[in-house]
Amino acid sequence: MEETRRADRRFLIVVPVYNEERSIAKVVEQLKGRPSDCDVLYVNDGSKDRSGGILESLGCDVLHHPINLGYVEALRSGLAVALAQDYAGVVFFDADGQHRIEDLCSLVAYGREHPEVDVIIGSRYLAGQRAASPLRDLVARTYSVLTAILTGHRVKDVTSGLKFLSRRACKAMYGFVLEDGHAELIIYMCKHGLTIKELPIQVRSRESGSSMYRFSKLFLYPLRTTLLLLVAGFGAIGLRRNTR
Amino acid sequence: MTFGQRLLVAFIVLGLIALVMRLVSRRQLSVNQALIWITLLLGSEVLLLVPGVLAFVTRLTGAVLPVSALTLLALITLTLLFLQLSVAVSRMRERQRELARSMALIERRLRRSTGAPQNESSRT
Repeated sequence: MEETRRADRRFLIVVPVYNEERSIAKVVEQLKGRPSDCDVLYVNDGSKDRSGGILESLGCDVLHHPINLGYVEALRSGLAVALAQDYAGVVFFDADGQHRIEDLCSLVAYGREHPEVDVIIGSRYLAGQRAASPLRDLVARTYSVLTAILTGHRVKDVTSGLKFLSRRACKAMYGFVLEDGHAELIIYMCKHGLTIKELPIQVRSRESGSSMYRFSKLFLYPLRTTLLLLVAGFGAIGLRRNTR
Repeated sequence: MTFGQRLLVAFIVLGLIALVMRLVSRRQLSVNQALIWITLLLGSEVLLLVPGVLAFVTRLTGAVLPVSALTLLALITLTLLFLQLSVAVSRMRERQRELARSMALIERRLRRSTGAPQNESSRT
């Protein structure tokens, strides 16, 4: 029943955009090769550059945050649209040009064919790739181990931005008040009893813009994320639910 | 504490209470926050001006000197106050996010229903 329903319905590709004026036009062009049952929503997260204007001029469907709310909130805004418009699932796709359309297609195809899987994560590590720098590689691998310890489920690429979420997972994620869209999200998903699967993807190096893991945040990020993981993992404050 | 010192403390506390009231009347401080501050100020007034209260607190905390007990009490109070303010700021940040998202969703719905072009200046 669920399989038929999901195959009949459409998926929403959510692209969070923040100051990506140099790469966004390429990404829009790239996403024209998406599967025919997918729509695209760009969430302009209060960009200070011309990203929003470029998206408008290209005739894209854009949701403009009046202020910068952060990566996770951009994803959650996409989920709000997907849930309101009854999409069967959502794919998160980065606006920096790092993801390939072939990988997006394979995630959607897998999600369509396997309705029992709630979350599909594109993993560069499964494809034998490494993170952009050894330090980021170390951070990602450390969180992978920490997530495995806390949940009993090993996800190799916890920092991947390319994810497929079933409608059930969308509802769950929209209900969580999250600070981190990666490792913390995976822990909450596991605790919520959702099935997670990783598929190998190739990640291109960033051509322009600045990564959310830029140097200034590289020291704060591990501290923040470790705290969030411990809170999420041990359930110190339980699953914080958004009741609105 | 001499009579003059007590009088000075009383004046300072009353002055601060008046300042809090003025901030409330100017809508620069919410009534809830004002109540917390007035309670704290009155508490400190009682502690300093009513004979025996500070001595009792000193005995209760096991401090040798009243000034140590007073410092400890001030430290605990300020920590709690700071925590309360941090919670309030976090809550406001969460509400701000929800509000901004609602605005964005309404604007998109409106734009799709009317086909109206967007204000370019707000996008750059």
